[in-house]
Amino acid sequence: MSVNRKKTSLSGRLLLSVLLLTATASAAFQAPAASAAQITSRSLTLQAGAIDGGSKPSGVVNHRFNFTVPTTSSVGSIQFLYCTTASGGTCVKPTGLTTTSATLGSESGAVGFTINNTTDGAPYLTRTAASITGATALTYQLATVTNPSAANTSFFVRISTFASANTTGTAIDTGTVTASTANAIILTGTMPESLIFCTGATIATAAGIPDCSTATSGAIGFNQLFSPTDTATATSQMAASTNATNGYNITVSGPTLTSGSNTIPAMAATTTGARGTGQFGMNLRANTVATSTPIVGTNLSAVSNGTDLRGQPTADYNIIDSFKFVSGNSVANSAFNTPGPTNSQIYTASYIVNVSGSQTAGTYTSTLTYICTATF
Amino acid sequence: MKTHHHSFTLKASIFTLVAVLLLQIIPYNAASAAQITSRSLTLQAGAIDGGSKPSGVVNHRFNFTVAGGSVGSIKFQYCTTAAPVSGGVTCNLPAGLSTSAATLGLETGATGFSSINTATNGTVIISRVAAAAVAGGALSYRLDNVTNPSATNKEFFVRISTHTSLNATDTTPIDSGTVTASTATQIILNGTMPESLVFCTGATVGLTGGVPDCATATSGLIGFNQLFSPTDTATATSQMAASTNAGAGYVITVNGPTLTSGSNTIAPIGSTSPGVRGVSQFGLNLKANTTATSTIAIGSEVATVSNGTNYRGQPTTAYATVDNFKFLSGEGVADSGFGGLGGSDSQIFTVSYIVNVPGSQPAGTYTSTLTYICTPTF
Repeated sequence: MSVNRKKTSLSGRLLLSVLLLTATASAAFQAPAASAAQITSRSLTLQAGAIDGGSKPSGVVNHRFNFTVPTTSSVGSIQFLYCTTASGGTCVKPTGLTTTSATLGSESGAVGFTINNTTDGAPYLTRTAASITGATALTYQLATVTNPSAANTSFFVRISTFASANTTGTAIDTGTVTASTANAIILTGTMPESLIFCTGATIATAAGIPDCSTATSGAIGFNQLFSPTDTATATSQMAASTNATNGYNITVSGPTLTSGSNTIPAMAATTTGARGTGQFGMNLRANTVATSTPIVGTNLSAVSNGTDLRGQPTADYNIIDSFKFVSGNSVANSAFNTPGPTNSQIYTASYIVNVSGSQTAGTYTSTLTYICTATF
Repeated sequence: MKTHHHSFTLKASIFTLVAVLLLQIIPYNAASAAQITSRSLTLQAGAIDGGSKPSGVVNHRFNFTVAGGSVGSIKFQYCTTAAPVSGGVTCNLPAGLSTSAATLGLETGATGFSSINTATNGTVIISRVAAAAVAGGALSYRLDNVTNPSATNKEFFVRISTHTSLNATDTTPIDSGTVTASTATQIILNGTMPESLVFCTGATVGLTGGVPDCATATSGLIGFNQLFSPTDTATATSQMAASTNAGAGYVITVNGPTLTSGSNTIAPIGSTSPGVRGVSQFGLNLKANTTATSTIAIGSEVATVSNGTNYRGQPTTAYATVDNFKFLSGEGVADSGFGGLGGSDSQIFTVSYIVNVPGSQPAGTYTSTLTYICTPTF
């Protein structure tokens, strides 16, 4: 009876031992991430590489990981496992993704790591294990990673921290981030050879820029009846811009003021107005009371600067209170400093008429044609 | 001796035959009770458990129609069989079934059953001062907090009987009938929603079934609608779709140079402002613009419209003003922060680009390769 009780006791203890061993072994061999805590505030930002945009398919770019580890523990390695799925067992590396040239571009929060990029798609950072305090925000940039080749496709990176320096053993904390490649948007537009030129009685500006759509009619009357004792005046405007390498040239063409067979003599040379003398002339300047009251004309606007504003009257039409009119003459060009392209500027052409006492009565008209020629 | 034995056997056989016939003609206890019709037992979910869950604490709803009579009580007797079994056992309680905590959750048709007797597990009697039940009246009673039988995928029976007495002690009930129901294995479906980001860009992104479909995204090669001109605004659009389940939502940035042709560039709009013709400008926004910007209005609002719950996409402030544009590489142009940063279903953003040039803008083909990056934070 006593022997039997001893046998029973021995069997019981053996059974208990086996159960305990089984339980211990089970705990030791369970899945690596079974007890891992979730990494929080985690993200993967695709950043531009030396040439390629961050989300470019197959682009050689930088991957910046931001995350917070919840557990205070000694960390010797951090693995970044690139997969086509977030979780669910076997990791399939995204097609085209390459990490074997990856470098550690930056690190913050927990530092002192170097990168091991031996296994494509599974780079890890390694160091002599050191403690990371829980809730510490960490940032690591893996540089020169080649993105997956599929466009507009998500891929996943499973992040795990380990106590070991080589990602062996059970993960301490884990978390998955995702990012997506995207079609590069390639915008293309053409700037053609351009000349914007307009004339009219007036041309207004829109937001400071001459606006040819505001040009008014070219039918212009002089400010007063012609008189041997006073100078009649009128103005017109024109705006010009071009991207022609050699700039533009503006000519004026047309007859002098005519009424039937009667004319007012054109001013063949640049001279000042003289009342009582038959004169029809023009210039592109802001004149003074020496010419007329009220004064007539405005200087070129905006003022040329020799870079993107190059307009100027030609020499014969560029003297205050001096006028000329020769059909076919060049009156302006974009050669301030040197011929070249220019943004839009407004010229004001001032016209004067003086007549002799015998000037035949009548209505005098001249139709002037301004021609702007751009040379590319 | 042999003849005597033969006679005894014959008598016994006749007796047995008569007894069997009598049992067929005179049903147990319901000899004169009418059959309850249109009867059913519906297992209904309790506070936590599904209605047919084995051992679930659930509600049992009885619907039936009675022939009439003065009804003072109704008995619900739970059994493993529909009718009494042989050997003198009239009703075996289904294992695990418990009616001890049952309450009367609902009564219709004949009401006023203010008392419920659950003293005997498996038998519930509701009672009232006897009153006439309308013949052909449809009655409905729900017993709450009944614990289902524990066996899975196993039917059980409830014998319903109406009585004149208040405690269902009448030998002969007024009406009676049996209903049955079955426990069932719970179907436990498991699935995992992983961290998710669906993002795409292209000239256009189409819809499938009303939902943005990145598979329909077209090439990102986009030309402006017209040649650049100092007197008019050239425009172009691209689209992108984004969704994520990230708790902190997503942010989309635009990255790249301004429009460039060799060494010539078109100036990016450094701060949000309207387009001005005749001025060097390259900018974008994510709004439906008007003819104040271009002859043909361009752009669209984010679609579907955000609601702060499952749609949260929005342009960032700098890119969210109609007819105002900006371009700054690296800047966030959209996020899922409408009503607070969070996850969002897929929406389509339309990006509108404008180009204005001064008269001196050198001729050439201008290109910009823009990279949109969507970053979710989980």
